[in-house]
Amino acid sequence: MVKRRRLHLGLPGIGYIFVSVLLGLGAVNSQNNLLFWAFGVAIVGLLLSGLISGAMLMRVEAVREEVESSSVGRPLRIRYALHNRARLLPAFAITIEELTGKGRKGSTWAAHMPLPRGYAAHIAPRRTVHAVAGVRPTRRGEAVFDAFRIVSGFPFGLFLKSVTFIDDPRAGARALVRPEVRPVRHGVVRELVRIAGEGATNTDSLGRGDEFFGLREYAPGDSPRHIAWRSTARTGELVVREHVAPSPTRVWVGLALRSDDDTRRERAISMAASLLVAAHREGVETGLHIISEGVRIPARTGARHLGAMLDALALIGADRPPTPRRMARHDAPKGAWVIVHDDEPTRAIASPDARHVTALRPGEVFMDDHPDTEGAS
Amino acid sequence: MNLLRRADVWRLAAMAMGIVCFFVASGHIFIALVALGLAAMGRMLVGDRSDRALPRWLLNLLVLVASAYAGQRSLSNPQDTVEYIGTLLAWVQVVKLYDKQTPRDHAQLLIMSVFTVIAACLTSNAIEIGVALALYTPIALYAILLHQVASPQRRVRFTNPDTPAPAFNARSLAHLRASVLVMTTLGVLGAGVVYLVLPRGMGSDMFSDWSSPRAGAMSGFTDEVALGRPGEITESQETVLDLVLLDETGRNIGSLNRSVLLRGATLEHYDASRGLWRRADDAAERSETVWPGPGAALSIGPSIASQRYVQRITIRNKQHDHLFTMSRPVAVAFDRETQVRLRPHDHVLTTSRNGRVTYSVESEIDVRPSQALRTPRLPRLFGEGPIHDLALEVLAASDIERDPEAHITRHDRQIARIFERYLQTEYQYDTFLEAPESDEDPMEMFLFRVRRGHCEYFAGAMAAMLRSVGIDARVVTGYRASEFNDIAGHYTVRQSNAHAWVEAQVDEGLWMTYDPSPPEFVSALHAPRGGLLGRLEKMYEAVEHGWITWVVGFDEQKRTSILGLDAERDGARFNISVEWLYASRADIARRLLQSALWGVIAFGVTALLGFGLRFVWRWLESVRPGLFASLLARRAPRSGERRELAFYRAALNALARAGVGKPAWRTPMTHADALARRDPALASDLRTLVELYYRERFAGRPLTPDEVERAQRSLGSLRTRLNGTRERTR
Repeated sequence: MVKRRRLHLGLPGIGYIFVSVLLGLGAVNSQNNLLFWAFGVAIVGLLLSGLISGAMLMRVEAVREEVESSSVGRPLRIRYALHNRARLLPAFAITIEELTGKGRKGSTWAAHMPLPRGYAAHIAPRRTVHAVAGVRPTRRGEAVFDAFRIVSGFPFGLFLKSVTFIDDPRAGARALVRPEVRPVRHGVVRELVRIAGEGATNTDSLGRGDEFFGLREYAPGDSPRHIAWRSTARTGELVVREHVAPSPTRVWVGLALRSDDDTRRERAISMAASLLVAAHREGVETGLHIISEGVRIPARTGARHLGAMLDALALIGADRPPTPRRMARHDAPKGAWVIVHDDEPTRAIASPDARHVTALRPGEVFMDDHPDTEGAS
Repeated sequence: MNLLRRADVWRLAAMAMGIVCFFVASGHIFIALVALGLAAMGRMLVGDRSDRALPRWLLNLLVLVASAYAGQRSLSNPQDTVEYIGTLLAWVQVVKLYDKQTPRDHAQLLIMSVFTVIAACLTSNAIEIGVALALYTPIALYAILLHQVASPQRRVRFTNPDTPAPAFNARSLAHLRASVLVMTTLGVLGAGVVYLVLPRGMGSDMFSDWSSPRAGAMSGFTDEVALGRPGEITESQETVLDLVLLDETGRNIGSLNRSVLLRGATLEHYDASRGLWRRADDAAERSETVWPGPGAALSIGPSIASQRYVQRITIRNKQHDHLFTMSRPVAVAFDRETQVRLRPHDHVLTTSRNGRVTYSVESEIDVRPSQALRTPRLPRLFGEGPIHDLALEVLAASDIERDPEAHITRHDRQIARIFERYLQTEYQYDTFLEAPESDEDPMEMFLFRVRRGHCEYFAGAMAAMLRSVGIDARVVTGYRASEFNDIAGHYTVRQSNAHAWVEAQVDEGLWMTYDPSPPEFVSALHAPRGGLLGRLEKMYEAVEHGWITWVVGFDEQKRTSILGLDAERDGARFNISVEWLYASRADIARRLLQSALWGVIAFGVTALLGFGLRFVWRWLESVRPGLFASLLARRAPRSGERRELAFYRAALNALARAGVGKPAWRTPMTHADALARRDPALASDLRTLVELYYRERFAGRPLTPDEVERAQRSLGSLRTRLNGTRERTR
């Protein structure tokens, strides 16, 4: 980690120097000894301000400990550890700010969120405090943090002194900002689950379904409830009944991105994310197919699985712009499909029984029918 | 008490201290109480509740009225400008407590408090101000440090509400207090070093004498003796000046048994119609500039006597022209450059400097006649009438006759003694006197009817009797310094020590002093207070004298003495530098220095004007939205941008200032959509502007005048809404 320090002379500092000069002139002109005294205090204040803030800040070591992932509109927290190496001198009023354009690779967080800013009011000598910068991201994607600085104007705010910490290019912190998740109309999810349930079929593997699969010899440990008494009586040997596994209820969300309109594209991604989260909460298996990217995540349950799908949505367009693709009809796994479009729906890209929603009419999906999907910055 | 609350409390304490300090300095303790009461009320009523704040227009109006009043008073009394500015600052602080409070307002209040205390220092150098300053410094320092810790927290929490509040516990507070202690100590030590190192005397009054701080009470001295007025002479115990009496070798020769007459004015003319002794208006005067510094005393008269007396005098609040000296001054030195006037015929020193004046004067007591001190003869007064008859009667009782036409006779010294003794023994001293009857001369009333009076009557009567027989005599007003403080080794001179006596020319150029007031009464009147209270008072005055001598009256001589510099050698060098700077041959250097200093002031004034204009601009914009929109729209466009599109840039700037700036990655119309959640009307204004921008920028269709006007209207409306949002946020 590279450290750079800098002195910023702002308006308060210039004003203070100007007033000090006036005090000196006033003292010389009037020969008023109290003014000479005040002038002396002003000079000492200037020196103390420079010395204390510099000495204080140079002995503070700061490390960015962790950057939490978050989604658009939800708080993202960056944790820092600040250690004061000084033996006697405490540190006060330290503001922590992330920087852009300092590292070799360059940070990208500025495109995703306002300036993250944390604050430590006091660090005792030889102690460590943990500070947190909280910020609400405004745009999904991968945010890279590669430099931050600690700033302090203590004791008098005349000069701002800062020390910049630049991360090793390979060690820059990253945070994934997932798409905004908004409340989805109950009817939409319920209908999807119903469709998924209607279309549910049995699998060809053993399970605990109702459908008969076959008979086999009894093995110790088998439940007596599964013994096929009629067949046992016929053959004279204990046989048990086996069932096929039921097909789970699956909701698939397809995302078709074709438009150049950034707003619509983001809205479509947010709709897909919101649908996935709503379906996950209903307890059904969810899968994601990003048609334009050729990315498919099989249908599963579980929070980790949901996270993986949201991460995939967060990274859309990260490296290259999405290219329109057509999903092969035979390629569609079983389950209820909902295709989210960022333009007028093109039904041909999916099976005929798939439901199509579009970012042009967000009210079909979102509870709060409002055109804004990204929140004000 | 949490950090923010604690910062508020100490900021208010510093403010209150500053306000009290200033009003005590300007002598308006009652106003200080009123201001504190109003400030406390403002704090209680408004506090942090912005919804309870008074309307901004009302506060601005109050500040404008106060500023106009201070400006008008400053123009009519330029010498009191600092006092008016200080008063204005104090009241603005009080008014601001009725306003909404932001971290910026808190900083402004602290700065104004510091300026108020500086104004107090410029208004008065009394010891009370020194004590207040000593108390104010750590309080203000603590308030500033708390503000510096609390203010970023407020800012961070405002811009990033999801950032949790940092920990600030008892240990943090202890460290902060220790920091205050260390900084105060370092500040005092460092300021002491700067105070000692800075040379005194150079550059004084370079920008005219705009500040005359006082160090105590005004003088009870007067340069007119109006005998016709009834009433009681002052018995005020307010200290007027401090006197240290030394011999030629620098030994303090003041004592409890020695009293000293300090001459202030000599009154040769008597206006019989008004019963008034006054100065001669037509007397010749010699004006000289006295440069400060060791060994820079101005010689102002011939040295005749063998013994000299050195008086170090500090007049605490001089409001007249007169300087006080013991007997005839021969040399005078000041702590700063001073224009002094000398009247050769009566050796009275005057200067127009006001406020605290510290000087050192060497005097001689003449005992021999001298041609060098010969003065023109004064016109004879009371050549006939009851006073003349009384004088002849008194002389006849001693078998002395004098030719009234003779200038000097061998009996004059004896005659003066006879008149002095006659008045001391035959008349009674009284501080109260009634008015004379109509057409009655007040001195005749004193001499023949009431036969009692105060020192002015005794002095006036003796001068009249001497003048009636042809001896030159004059009334002298000044102080009788008799209260010697044996703790500090100085005389404390109070208003009640104002005195009048007589000088008579009893030989060629030899003016001798006579005090016809009964000595036992005068001594009793001027006797210091005894007992425990008197002792305590004496101790307090010793401290006060130390303050005036070593802080207020600290000059180049004391500086060189403390630093162990060779006073003569360095004094000579100092004088050379002073002369080089100020003598006519080095006039260009003085002008260059003055120009540089004026340049600094001009820069400051310009900056202040700039800030003022900005303030007016923003205020006008808030009351008349869109007033300057057309001007803004005509501002120089960026390179490659059409002039008409400046409104779009102005809109983006306004959004950025309000904290809802457009991110680089977001298209303008999307940003307008995003803002719709927050403020649909604001978004509508922005959409209008963006549509016009698109039309001009991408469709290449120039805007019609109507469209330009529409853009300006939308820009004005957008700004108004943003200002409203910002105010609500604050």
